[in-house]
Amino acid sequence: MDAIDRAIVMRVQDGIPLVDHPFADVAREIGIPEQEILARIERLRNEGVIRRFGARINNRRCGFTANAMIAWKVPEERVEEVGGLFAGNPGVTHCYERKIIPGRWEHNVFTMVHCQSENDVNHLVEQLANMAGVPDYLVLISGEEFKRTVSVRITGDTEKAEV
Amino acid sequence: MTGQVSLDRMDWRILQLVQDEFPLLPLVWDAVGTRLGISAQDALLRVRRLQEAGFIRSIAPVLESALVTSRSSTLIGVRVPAGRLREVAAIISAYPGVSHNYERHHEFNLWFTLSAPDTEALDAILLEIQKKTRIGADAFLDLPIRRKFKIDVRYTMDPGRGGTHHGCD
Repeated sequence: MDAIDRAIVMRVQDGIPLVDHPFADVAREIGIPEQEILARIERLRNEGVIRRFGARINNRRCGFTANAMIAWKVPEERVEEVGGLFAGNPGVTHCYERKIIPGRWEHNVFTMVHCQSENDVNHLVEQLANMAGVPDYLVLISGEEFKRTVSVRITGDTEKAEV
Repeated sequence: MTGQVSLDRMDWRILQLVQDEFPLLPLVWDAVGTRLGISAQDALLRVRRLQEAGFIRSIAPVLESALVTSRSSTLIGVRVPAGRLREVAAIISAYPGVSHNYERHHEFNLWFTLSAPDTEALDAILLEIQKKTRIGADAFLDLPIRRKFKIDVRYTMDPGRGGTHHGCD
């Protein structure tokens, strides 16, 4: 990423302006042609710096009010396989392996699911458990949302790595 | 809070389209409108209304953390004593490195994600939180990522049930 890439990302990471020609407006602010801004965004997407470009949906507002984190206890030698299986399910938005704390927390694979009812959550979780053959899991239904912000951002300082 | 806004079928189709396939073109709203059989002006006005009413947070790039930042991050679960949840959550949310902070229905009833320039800074913030909340380290779980399998936050809209209790024709 060069300085212009960074300027573009910093300008649009909180949202493009909802005007007739959003990319032309941003290009004018940065001082480059509109075609260049679009070409650079496309390139950053191909390089994987931008995972996707589009609307961030407010899931709760759009009816996905039953959200849950499921923590699975997966034997070490099956983590790669099970992680891949969970990741392949369209109902799963996040899937990670996390460190365990022996004796205190031994559920090592985490998935997030977002449904319209707790019933749907339970149904999806059962489906995942059967598919992967992992009977030991905890379903942590989300309650109140205290904070939610964009976690991956470019800031003005130099803490991020060059790509 | 955002008030009651009723969405019609076209609104739900727009939500799905601008989430899944936002066109990176000079004439974005023409492209969106053409796909849905409405005018560019109507497409823009609807997207604006959907954002103002809180259905869309923003239209923006989703960045790959490993490629744009070298920060360390972790997930923390806390066992908060009954009756102190909001107070403790407020102390934690005040840290700029906390991006998500949720109540979850479990013995560990508060879960947040924390990032900092490196792991030493993460540990320092965690210690400070334990001190400020007067909750002991044994009530905290620090669970950093070992492997990422998936991050793809997209939803399949369901006009029949989502959003509001009325107005979905």
